[in-house]
Amino acid sequence: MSEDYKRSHVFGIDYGTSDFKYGPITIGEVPEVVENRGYFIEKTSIMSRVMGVNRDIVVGRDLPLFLESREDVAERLVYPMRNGIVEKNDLKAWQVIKELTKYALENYTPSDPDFRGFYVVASLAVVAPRYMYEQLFDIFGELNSDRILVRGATIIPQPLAVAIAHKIPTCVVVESGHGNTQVCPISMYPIRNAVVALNRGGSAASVLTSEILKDLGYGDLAKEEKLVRRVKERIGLLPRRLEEAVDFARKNPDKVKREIKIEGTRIKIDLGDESWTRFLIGEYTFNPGHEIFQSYFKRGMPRPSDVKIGDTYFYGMTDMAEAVIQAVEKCSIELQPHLYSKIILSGGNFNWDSPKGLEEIAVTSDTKIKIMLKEKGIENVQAIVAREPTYSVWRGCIVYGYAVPYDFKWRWERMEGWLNYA
Amino acid sequence: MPRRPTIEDIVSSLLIDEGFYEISRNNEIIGADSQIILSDGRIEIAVNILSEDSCSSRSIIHETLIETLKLRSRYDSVILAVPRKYLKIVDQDVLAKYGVGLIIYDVMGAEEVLPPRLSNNRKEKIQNIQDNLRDVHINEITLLQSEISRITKILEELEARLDRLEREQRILTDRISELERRKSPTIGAERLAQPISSKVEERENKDSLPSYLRDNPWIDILSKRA
Repeated sequence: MSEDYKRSHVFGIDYGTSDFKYGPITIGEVPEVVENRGYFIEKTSIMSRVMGVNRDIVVGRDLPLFLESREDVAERLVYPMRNGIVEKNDLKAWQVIKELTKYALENYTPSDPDFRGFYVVASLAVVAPRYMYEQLFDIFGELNSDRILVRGATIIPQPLAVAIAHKIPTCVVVESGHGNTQVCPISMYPIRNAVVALNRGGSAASVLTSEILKDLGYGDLAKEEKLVRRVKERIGLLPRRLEEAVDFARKNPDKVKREIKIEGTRIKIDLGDESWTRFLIGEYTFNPGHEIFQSYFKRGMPRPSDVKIGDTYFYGMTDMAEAVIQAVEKCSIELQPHLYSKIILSGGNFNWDSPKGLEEIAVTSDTKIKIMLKEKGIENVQAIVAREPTYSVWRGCIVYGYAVPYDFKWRWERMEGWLNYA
Repeated sequence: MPRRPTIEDIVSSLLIDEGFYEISRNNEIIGADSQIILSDGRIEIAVNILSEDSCSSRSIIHETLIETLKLRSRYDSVILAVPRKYLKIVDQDVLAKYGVGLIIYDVMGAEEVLPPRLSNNRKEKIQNIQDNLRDVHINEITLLQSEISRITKILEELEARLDRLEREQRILTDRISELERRKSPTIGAERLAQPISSKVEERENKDSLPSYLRDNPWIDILSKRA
């Protein structure tokens, strides 16, 4: 098998907590995306009989067709990952991971008789423990039982894939998804012992949005998770400095005022005089320790707590700039200025706009992190918000698979290379 | 700065957590400091709230109890809310006897001490509905049954049609993927299988490569892994 064969058969898989992205190198710029979940079928159900299904699990695009009553969904619909991690003994979760992997590879297996399997580059959270690597390698092997689908496989951490996709070899990648945030310094390869993880992501800002909606008298809407998320995305603003923004909003309510209508419904949400709360949503993502949030905690809003998942501590209340500093300061002093000079903010949780007319008080994530770091004495910071963050991990996987030589064998001590199955 | 939660907010949040939503708030009522009306879509609850100041006056307490009891004729349930430290000023046995609920609150939150009883009005309404249901003519039931079986039949037909459409869609998707695969890997293989070191050829193909592979310094770094 040659380098040529490998390069044209690279297959990228990004195991994200909520979305599963996959596709071969030939697919182009954008991978396929399905939800990272599986539905354990009740074989006596109408849909499984109508569809002639003889599998135990359904994954991918067909999944919604099999969903039954709410009670069944709660029991049978399995989201395998929490904070990017699959529990070691969660057999159902691993079954879902296996089925999704099979689904992805089979969708693109060519009928070409010369096909000898893909070179799969999978990507996991940087905090994923070793057993996840072992289990995933086992799955790739098991998928070859009927037909060779995987010729070689490797697993890389998601922040490395982000850095590769953005063509930056030395940087700090801050990956903030729905449930958590990982800060990972990279210098040609991830500096694993410098990784800092936070137990908060987009979901924390949604919780605060829900509290704001309750205070505004929309208590009935505040329970609808998807609706709250949409409201957060449409009203949330990231303040340059919170006190100044709140002061501005109180003096100029018309400039900050926002009324939104939820498409396809009769629901209208008007923030009215409380429009200043729009700034709390963005601030909470970056700095939940601000004293302004104490009143919400006192009223029962859950405070992001420190948790240990696998071998990693996820901190709840550490602010974003402090997390970056903690991660960078674990690296060599010589490297630190280079790391501060390229900070990549990746993930939907950094997607904040600076609307026209509010440029002086509402900022984008790159500006905010620069301001926060400057306040802590870090100068010369360059930060960028990742373009198309949904796809960047998959793109990094493809570049990695394309470039790493096929005869570079997997080594556990370095956690890189190809594990060959042929 | 966010406003400090009012006692109405604190009491209301307890019931909102149980699935109720607020219909109205009134701070100028007779016989209590404030009143909240809540509903869960089926029943309506009135909550009369006594503040700390009012608890120091026996006459206000008595007046509030009487007014709260009167509300039972208008609402499905009534509740009295008092500050936690004044829990002992009301006799819970008496409240239980008359079906009035009791909530205690402080700045940390509210707690239900005594659940309210559904008023007879409501029970009567339910009884009336049940009685009316019994009177539904047997023919109407037969009619409904035939309607249901007609709708079920339509649903089954739709399911079968959906099934056929999905099968056809899957076949078409497979065919399209197959055609694309036959076309693009050939181009891709030629295009992507160029040796990394041959920079001239790489430059020729550069424009046709995906953007993330073009001029990516990682390719050089990673290709030296050994």
